[in-house]
Amino acid sequence: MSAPILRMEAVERHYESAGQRIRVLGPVDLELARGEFVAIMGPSGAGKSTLLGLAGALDRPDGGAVFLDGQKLWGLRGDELAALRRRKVGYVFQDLNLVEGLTALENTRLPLELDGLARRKADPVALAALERVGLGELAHRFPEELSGGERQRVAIARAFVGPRELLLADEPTGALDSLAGETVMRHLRTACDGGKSALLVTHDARHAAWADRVLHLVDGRFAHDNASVGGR
Amino acid sequence: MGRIAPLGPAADPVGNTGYAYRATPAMSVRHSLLALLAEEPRHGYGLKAQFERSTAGTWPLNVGQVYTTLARLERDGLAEPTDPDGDASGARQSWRITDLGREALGRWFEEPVALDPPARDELAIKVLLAIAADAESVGPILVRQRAAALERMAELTRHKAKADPMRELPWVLVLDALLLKLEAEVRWLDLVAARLAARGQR
Amino acid sequence: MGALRALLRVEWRNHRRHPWRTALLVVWLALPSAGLVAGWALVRTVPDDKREYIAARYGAADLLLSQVREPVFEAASTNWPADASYTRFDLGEEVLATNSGPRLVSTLAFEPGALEPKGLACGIAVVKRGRAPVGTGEVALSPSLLAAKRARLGHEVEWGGQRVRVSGVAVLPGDLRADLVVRELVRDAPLGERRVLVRYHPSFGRSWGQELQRRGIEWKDRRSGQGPHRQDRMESAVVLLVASFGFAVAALVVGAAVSVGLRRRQRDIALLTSLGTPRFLVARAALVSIVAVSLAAAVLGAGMGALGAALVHPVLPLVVGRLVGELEFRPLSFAAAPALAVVFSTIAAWPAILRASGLPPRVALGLARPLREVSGGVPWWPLGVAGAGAIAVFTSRPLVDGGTPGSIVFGSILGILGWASAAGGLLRLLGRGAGRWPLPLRLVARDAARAPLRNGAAAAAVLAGLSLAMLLSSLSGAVQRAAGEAGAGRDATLTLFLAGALGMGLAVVAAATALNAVEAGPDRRVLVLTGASPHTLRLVEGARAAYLALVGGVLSVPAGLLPTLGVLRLADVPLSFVMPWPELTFALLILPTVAFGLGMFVSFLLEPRRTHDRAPLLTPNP
Repeated sequence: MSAPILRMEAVERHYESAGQRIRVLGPVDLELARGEFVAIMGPSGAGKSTLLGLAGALDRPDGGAVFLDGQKLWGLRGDELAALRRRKVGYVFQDLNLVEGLTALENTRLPLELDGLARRKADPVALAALERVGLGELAHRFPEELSGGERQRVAIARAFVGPRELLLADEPTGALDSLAGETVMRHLRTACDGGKSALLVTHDARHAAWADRVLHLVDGRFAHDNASVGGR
Repeated sequence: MGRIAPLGPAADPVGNTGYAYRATPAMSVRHSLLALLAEEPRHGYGLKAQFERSTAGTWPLNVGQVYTTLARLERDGLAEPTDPDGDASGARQSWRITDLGREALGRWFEEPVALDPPARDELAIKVLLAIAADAESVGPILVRQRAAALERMAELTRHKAKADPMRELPWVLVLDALLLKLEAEVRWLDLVAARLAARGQR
Repeated sequence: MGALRALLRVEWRNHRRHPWRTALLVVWLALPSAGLVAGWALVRTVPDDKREYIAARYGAADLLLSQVREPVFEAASTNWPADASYTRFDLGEEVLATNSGPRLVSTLAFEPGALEPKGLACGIAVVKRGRAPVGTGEVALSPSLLAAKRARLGHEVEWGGQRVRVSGVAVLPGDLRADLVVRELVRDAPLGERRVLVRYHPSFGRSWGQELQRRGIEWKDRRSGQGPHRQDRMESAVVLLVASFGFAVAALVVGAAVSVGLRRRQRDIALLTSLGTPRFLVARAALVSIVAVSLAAAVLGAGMGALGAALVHPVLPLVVGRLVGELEFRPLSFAAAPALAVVFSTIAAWPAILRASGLPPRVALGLARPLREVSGGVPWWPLGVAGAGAIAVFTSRPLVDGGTPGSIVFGSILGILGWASAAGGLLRLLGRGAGRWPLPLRLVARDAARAPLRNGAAAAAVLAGLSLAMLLSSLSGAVQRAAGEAGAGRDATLTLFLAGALGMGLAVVAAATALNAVEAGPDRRVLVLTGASPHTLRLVEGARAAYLALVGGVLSVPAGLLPTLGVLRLADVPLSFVMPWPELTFALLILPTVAFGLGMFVSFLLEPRRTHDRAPLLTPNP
């Protein structure tokens, strides 16, 4: 088995509040293998979004280390972080994941285009990614012409376009109805079965059930009831 | 349909934890057969096969059960053999619904399904008793139950992932129902934990 | 009433919470107010009105005798009453050797005392410093000649082959830069043309004038003197027009700033309306707030304008090259400034207020952008207006008396209006056709196309200023070429006008760009998350600013040059078209480049600085 796409070692995060240092996360360990789909559940304020932010270099830990595809996330400059985001990791939030002025195809192509790939070469790759989430037909629509579920699927296509293989999702189905949410999860599942990896934060057990593993975060620590569904 | 086995009420794999799909068989089989006859007249074996297809194999019937139910329907005037001279219990005989039967079926569809009050739910009773005895001891119960429910949900979701919602609609609908019940249970467990925590803080 | 007061308190807190935005509004509205008050006061002091024109010829006298020969005049004046008052003066030209070579200078010679405040020649020339020259040993020189001779007051200079003392500094009131020598008149040695200034005496009858004419002396009565046909109303109209233009530009900024403010508060407003506050009340509170700000700004501006005019007035002669009149404020200007400020800012803010108070709460409460403005195809009717303007310009016939027909003016205005209103539609078309453009340009083109009315107005402001600059420059170039002064260099006024047009264009583009950037905030976040480097983000913001400037600049070329062609066609003298290269360069190259640079710089300033290493780099959810 190859190296994990994401590894977090004894990661901690504190916030200062009214002169007090409050621990919101950690220390936690987490490993995400390639092709693995892990869901994180837990009550509000348990540190789920903080964990996700640390995993995707949106935030820095005050203790421990995060390795993304074997590279330690530490002391990276702004442009190095940008390159990391272009090439390795995609984010999907509850809403506003797409650039309004770009079509579905252009949104999907965005990381490749930002990385300097010629449009001629990037377009087929992006189109293939869109087709994998069943949106090949809608490639030239603008976000406002797509439904909420379709927008989230475009965001998933973008997260996995070309060589990108890690998706960090924070309640991606939070604004969707059950059926649209399920379609989004189905495509996420398919992508992970195809070798991509995803870390999903959700409070919805039905969506967490699509994952290979469900971790329960309580008060910044993983509860030891990790429902490890073996066999994968 | 090999996936039937772990799901029927007779083969509940998680034991008596109370989250398996429960129905009241006597009532439902009677009305289900009536509903199938309302579509078109059928004979006994055809009824059994169609029933199992419609319930996505979650509910295996034996042919004997079909015939006794048909006999009761005929007794109550809700169904009748298409060939009154034929052998009522014969495999060749086919059955059709009567007007009285259509009325009864209509009433059944209109009537909302009565749900078990939670107090009769085995899990609820277990948790309530544990809290009454010692609030501390309920923690592990909640954790185990939550893990089991999630594991079960993951398993059902894997079935759903493989299912084609276009061609296997009944099966997917059954899975949805099971998943939503399990989700409700998980949320209830979380709420219990939260309430206990809130009480502990005070 | 209580509800409105509560809403006004919200508005007031909002101004206090965003003092800079409010300050921006105040500055933008105060500037044209100040300009109006100061400009109106100053502009009246500058040009020579009839009184000054006559004073330059007649001094304080009533009658002017020209081409006078001394023996004839002496014979004629022997019969004049003893208390008749008159004075001679000479008007000539001579070549004067200076340190920078020989110069042709005007020489005026006056009798002693004639230039004194009560003297008859007072106003023909003015001794600014020192005193009028006495005797043949003294002269008064203009500042230009003093500089050329490297002399100062009291020095001796070489003049007419002898050394003379500089007794004073003299100027012509109408042209401070003229090379001028003033000396004392020598009665028997006229210099060039001799003239005599005479004060009217009651004993002068009709026969007096006939007697002079009989002797061959030309004379003119001060009262028959022809001044330039200059009307006060005209200059007032120009000041008002320029100020209105300033207010219109300010209005664009106000509209943009109000939109930004209201957009940031759209959730608050939606909450207010969903709590049952009537929309008209919300709108009224916003309106009252903007009217109050406009009034305060205008009053402040008028005060600044009055102060500025008082400060500028003493040094104004240095700028305009002539002595200026008394400073005199117009009460009307103090009334017009607040009125214009309120009218323009209300008109500008009204659409934004309507939009904000009329937004469905569902849209307002969500973070989604408001829907696109109505889409449309090719902007036919604005282009039609521009076309009609061009036709009006090109089909005009010169008037019989050589004047400019109104259809040219009308056509040019139509043209500018047409091109300006086509800007919005053009932005929309460009947004649609941006599919193959590089990412930053594609993004900003599509963003600009989302609000074509607002952005079109910004491009139109650039267009209006630049096209006028082009028109003026091209016409002035053509006239210069026709007069054989092709190498004479640019008129400072043109440069000033171009600078004004550019400054205004930049300001309006900045306001519109800021608004677009605020609306594109969520997009920026997505770009960051998708891995856009800081450099790319700067490029996007730079392109955002450059785009509007470029669209306005490109449209200003036809809007500015077409009327020029029409005007040239009708000129009395054959004029050839002169390409206004400096204006073109600024419109098409320099303004967009500067806007681009500014956009990048502002984006750079707004980048999160990691002053605190522990702070999150980005907040994942808005």
